[in-house]
Amino acid sequence: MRTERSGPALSRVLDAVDVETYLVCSSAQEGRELARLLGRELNLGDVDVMFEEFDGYGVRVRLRAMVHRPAARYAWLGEVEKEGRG
Amino acid sequence: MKSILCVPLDPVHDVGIKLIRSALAQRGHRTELLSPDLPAEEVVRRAAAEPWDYIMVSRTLGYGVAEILARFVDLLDAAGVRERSKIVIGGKPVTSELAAELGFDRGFGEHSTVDEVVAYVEGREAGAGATAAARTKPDVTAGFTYDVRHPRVAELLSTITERTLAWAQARTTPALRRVRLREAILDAPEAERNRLWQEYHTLCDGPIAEGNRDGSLPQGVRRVREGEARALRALLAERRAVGARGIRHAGAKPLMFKFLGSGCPVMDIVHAKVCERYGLDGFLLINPSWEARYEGLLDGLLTHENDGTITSEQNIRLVRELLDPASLLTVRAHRGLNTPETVLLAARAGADLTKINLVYGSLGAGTDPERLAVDGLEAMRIAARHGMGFDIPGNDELSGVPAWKSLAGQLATAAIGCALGARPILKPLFCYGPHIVLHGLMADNFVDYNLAKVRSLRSLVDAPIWPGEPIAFMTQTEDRVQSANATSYHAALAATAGVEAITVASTDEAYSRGPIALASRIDSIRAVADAYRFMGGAQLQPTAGVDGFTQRITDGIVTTLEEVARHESLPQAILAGALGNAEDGAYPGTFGRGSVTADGR
Amino acid sequence: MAVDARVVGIAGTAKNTGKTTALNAILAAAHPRGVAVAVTSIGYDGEAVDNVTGLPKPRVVLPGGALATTARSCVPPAGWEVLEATGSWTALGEVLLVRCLEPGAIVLAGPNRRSELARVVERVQALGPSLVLVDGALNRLAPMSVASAFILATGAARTADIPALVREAAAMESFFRLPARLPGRAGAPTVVHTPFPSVDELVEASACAEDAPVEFSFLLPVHPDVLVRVTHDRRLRSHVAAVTFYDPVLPLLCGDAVAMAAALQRCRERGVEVGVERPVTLAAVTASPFLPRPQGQRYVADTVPAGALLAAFRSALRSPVVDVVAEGSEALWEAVAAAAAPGSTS
Repeated sequence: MRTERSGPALSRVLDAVDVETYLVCSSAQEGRELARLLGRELNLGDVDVMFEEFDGYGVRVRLRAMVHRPAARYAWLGEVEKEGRG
Repeated sequence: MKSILCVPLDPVHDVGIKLIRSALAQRGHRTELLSPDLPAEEVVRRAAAEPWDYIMVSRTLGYGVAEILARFVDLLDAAGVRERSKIVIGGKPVTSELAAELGFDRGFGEHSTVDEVVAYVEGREAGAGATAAARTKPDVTAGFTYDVRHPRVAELLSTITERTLAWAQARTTPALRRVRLREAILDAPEAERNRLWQEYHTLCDGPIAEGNRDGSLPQGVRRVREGEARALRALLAERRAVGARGIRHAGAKPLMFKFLGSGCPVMDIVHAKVCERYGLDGFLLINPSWEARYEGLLDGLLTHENDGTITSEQNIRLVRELLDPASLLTVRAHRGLNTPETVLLAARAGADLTKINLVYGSLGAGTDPERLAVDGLEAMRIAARHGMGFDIPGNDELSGVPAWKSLAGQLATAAIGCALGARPILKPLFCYGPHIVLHGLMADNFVDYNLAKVRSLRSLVDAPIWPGEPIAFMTQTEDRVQSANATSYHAALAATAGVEAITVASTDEAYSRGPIALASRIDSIRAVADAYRFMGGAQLQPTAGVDGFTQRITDGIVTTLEEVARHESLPQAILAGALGNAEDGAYPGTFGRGSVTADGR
Repeated sequence: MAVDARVVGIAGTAKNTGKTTALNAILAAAHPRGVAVAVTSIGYDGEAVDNVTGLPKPRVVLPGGALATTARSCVPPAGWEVLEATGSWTALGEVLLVRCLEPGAIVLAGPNRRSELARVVERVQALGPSLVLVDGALNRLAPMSVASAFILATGAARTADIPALVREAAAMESFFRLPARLPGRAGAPTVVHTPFPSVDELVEASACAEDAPVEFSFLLPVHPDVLVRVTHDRRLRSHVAAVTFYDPVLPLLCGDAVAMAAALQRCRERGVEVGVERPVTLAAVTASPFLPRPQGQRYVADTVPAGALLAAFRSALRSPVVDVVAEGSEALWEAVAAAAAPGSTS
């Protein structure tokens, strides 16, 4: 599975990176779009907006970027690539 | 009375629509709940069979479901139902945009409450951005007699008050001279003001005078640009709180307060507006710690890149102007050399409360006790004149002072305040302070000792109690969830203790390397709201140890007051260490030492 | 070619079938020709990202001078002039009529029901545009019966089973090709006032015809099965001579288009005339190969082979079939202009 997220530190993220923040916006819709865009601007690729609540002035959001999903190749595991020959 | 047809198109998730139906039926509306397994055509027939006012559909969404709902809306339209009935959709992922795309007249999503739906049906909504009903501003000090119930304590407080007032009578400070000038400036015609300002600046320290006269402001301070202020007003004019909430589940106590003091009034105000939407009752404007060192206050709409929003008339006015009129505003005045002037500006700018503590302002915040006493008394008079209450922060416990000494100091300050016609508020600190740690007073739990502070005070005096600043001090780490939890548990305790108000910190409380983020404020408010929902009218049960603690604190208060009463005045007692000494980790402050002079009147 | 102020609706068979792409193509072709346009919607079209799949969606881009309807909270901060409030309310608030001052993207919002759409379209027409476009929402159709010409946007997002997709499109096309007929020519018209009537209800309603041949006139939806069964119900005193729908949108709404087309064919085989009171032209069908494919918890943008899709459609349908992305906007414009021209018939 192609992943947009890689790097010396990102490869050590066990599973996910969460971003908690508050975005100023004028509608819940705009907030959602901004939240996704923020994920891209932070170079986290496609993020899942786990939580968002629009209060009239902006949105409180929690974003999640999955780095290592279950069944993916875990960069932090240090798996041995080649099998030894007997 | 309205007629509502409830259509659960989702057999699994129909609890929401059942709750709404039940609420509507209880209010006397005609409702009918269809079975969830009716085919769309049958639902359309039932919808067309009578002139329903509302047809409420509930459905979760997923790929393909939107089209099913859209077709259903089409059928209702083609069947002529839309001419008579409004159609409404509810479900977790529903937003206004989705409802509009699907063709519904209104959508309710995961943050909507049953009450909001009922209000919509009954036509009570103000519009898409409806806020909670207009709030009335509470008075924290209302209904309290300030009677001292403990005869010995009453006697001691009376002695301390008399002596301190007598001692202060013939004394003045530059702050007292400045506050009279400032009052004159506020009331003077334009032509007079320059001269008065000039005289004012002769009583100020260099950086303050230069900042005001020449505009050479201290490092990190700049004027708020006109464009910024205008943009802020425009932003707040075009936006309204959406989905406003309350924090308390039931009842009107305790009131919730938070600090403001990012350094920038613009940032403070935006934080405050969002906090208001989350149900906060009021705010405490906190000034920079360096202000305590200088004689005189900077003037103008000023922003500052470090902690603390500058105490200027214009800053306070702007905050007051843009806060909800029903939000309470406290301005901190208990530190430094400008106490009376701060209270005056606060009063004139429309603040509701201030902070004055003749003890902690010295032991914990660096001002010379004699200077603070003379200034503080004048500040109390000003507060009294303007009908402003003042709270007495007890953060001296954080240096290591035992609780009873801090509370004794608060009672002494309160007694003096009452004698001057002011209305004080006591602030036991819900904390895990050094004295508590050293003596293992909270080895088992955080409930007993905190509760004992409140119980002791309640047994001694009929006065408002407002734990802070903030509650849960020294129990929070930089971990967001832990910090929110710590705050919420202490908030639950405050409700059990029946106190009038509390100050709650953000989840950034333990973080000292930068300003507080709005998301962190929201998180702590939500945690407190959840705690109150959890507890409702239930109570936290202390252990049997609470009684021993209460007695110990009361005894300690009496002993401390006796010690204080042996001195000529309260400030002398502070200097002598009666309310906290070197062993306790408390040292009387030095700012303004030697600045108290005989009053030439 | 001049186009008078006709109303053209763009309806989709599902989300992501290319309505906005078709709309943008017509707008792009109208502008250099100096055709003044107005655009409204029967819902809301503006999200940059699909709220279910998370995949990006095209924005509606209008030329300077164009009129549009939108919700108050969606009016862009600059480049647009608010002309008036329409008095039509949606889940997003009141619908406003705006004029584009500088070319740009806008979020469309419009009346959500037929009666209101008719009123708003009338108001818009009075302001002088030559062409009024009604943007559909999802697969919604009902309000669009105010249009005189349709573009049907379908594609792999509806189903990746191409033969089934083509069958459905052909069935839908057949409704637009139903002959115009006024109820009452063949017998006493029986107007049905209940949506989705049962066979019993239809039989009962037809009793007023007595011994005359029955003509069912449907203004409200009816189930295809019921249509077939009622035509040979023995309780009828006479035979069913004709079935008339108010317009082609009605049979489109009634459920499975293929089932409805088959039902109407069975009716015709039994000698029942089938027609529509108010014909609407199907100007074109657009076929989009775009297919959002679920992959775990997310969706990825995929396509079916565009050439094969187009060929399958063209061999089954008689109306112009256009792949706007592959072939450009001219083909679509020609089809729309032909359909919207005065005196055009389907």
